[in-house]
Amino acid sequence: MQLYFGLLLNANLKGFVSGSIYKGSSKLLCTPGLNCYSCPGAISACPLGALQGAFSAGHSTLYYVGGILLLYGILFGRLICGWLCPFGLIQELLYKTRTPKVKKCPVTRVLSLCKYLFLVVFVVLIPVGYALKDMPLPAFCKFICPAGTLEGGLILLSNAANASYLSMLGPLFNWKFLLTVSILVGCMFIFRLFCRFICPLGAFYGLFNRLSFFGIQVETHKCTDCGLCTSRCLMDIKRPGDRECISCGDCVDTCPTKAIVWKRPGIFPKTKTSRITKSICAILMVAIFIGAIGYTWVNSGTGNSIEMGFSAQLSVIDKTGLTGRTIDPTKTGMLTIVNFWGTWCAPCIEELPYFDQIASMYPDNVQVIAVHTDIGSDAAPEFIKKYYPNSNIIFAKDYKQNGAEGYYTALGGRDAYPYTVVLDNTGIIFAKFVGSVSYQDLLKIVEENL
Amino acid sequence: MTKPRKKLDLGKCSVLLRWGILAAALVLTALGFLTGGTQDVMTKAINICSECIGLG
Repeated sequence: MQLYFGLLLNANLKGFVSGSIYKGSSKLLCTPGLNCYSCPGAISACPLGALQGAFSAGHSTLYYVGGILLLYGILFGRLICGWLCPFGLIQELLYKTRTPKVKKCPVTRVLSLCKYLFLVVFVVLIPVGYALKDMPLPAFCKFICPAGTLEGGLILLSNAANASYLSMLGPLFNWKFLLTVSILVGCMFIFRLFCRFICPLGAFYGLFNRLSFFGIQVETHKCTDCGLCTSRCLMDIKRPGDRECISCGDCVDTCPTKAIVWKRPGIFPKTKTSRITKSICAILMVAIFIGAIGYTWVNSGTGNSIEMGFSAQLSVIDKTGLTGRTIDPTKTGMLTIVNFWGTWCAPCIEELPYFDQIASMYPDNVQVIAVHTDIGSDAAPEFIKKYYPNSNIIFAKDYKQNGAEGYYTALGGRDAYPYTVVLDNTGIIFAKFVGSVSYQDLLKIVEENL
Repeated sequence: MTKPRKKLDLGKCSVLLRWGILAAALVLTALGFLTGGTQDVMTKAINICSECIGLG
């Protein structure tokens, strides 16, 4: 089941070939489990990443993401961890390797509380703190999440088409790579190490385990407190159905008095389900999977599902919105720095002051154009008004940024932000920065080419 | 004589809480969806913030 959901949630096979992420409309839906939306195969959004982003996005996004998380939690609790999470599957497969195993003990039970710390600090406090400064910082994704490094970072890097990404690797990548490898190696010795001690999503869902509509529960009048269920369970449970239980269901058959049962048992197929029912289920599942592959294959082409028209030139925006003016960055007649950014992107916002400084230092020799992504550009005028009301930077927006006709793609962009190109006075690119750029590098390239 | 204290029916409470949370979740999701809350999720999901996935 986990394998099936892992494949279904990553049905954009075309993305694995091209090294590009899926941009269809299904990405506005959050998956129940941890599945990085920067994975080329992902066809939906990660709820944890979406939640961290929602703190800086406004009430509507917070309602939407919070509502979905609450919905998943109250419906399934940690059943999601046991049955639907692709990263849970990866951990279980690693645990199957023939290595010495570290068994649960009072220490691991205490350590299982750490995930609540990760939830509070990295998913709530830090993102909220930065959101108050208009900085969208998904701290858990940035500093911890091994699913992001593995499914997003490493898979993207392994594709030759993304060779330009290699230039941005630095201390942050080294840290995350080391952490991911440590967690994955740890999973070979400790059952579901990440789920038990780190995962904030599991911590959140665990709060609903006792209340959830689906999962397992103990019929107390039948229970003899023999302890067989807890001793055989690999998770740090005190009793089945508590906050640590992932409702895998192994204890249902173990219980000698049949005191552990599924909530709403009619939903789950019984062992003696007829062959016809099983076949119908299997055919349906395969059909849905093939349908998802086909749909994403056909619809992953030119990017955004939200059509906004096409402009041959970039539309200039300022603090009041669209100005009606357009600009062609290849025909400014001077050294031109084109920075692709978004108000949703923390590193983009962090480096904007560098461009502002360059623009004010060389007003007659250097043209700095900051191009906002098309989707989400509604927030740009307010941001410009607040932080760059009198800047020499020309702010603009790129229609259909991901289409072949958009400037982002035309100037060599490949999904990743921030992205900066430097053009000479004839419009030819002579420098590219994928990812963040330092002020020193920027200044150096300007001074060398003036 | 003191009146016997009425016991709180925990089973009933949890059922109420369960349905209450479900209703709140549905209302929040619908409210967020109808007021454009999906746009930011979409923006984040279709663009790669290089630093956010630990690339740098």
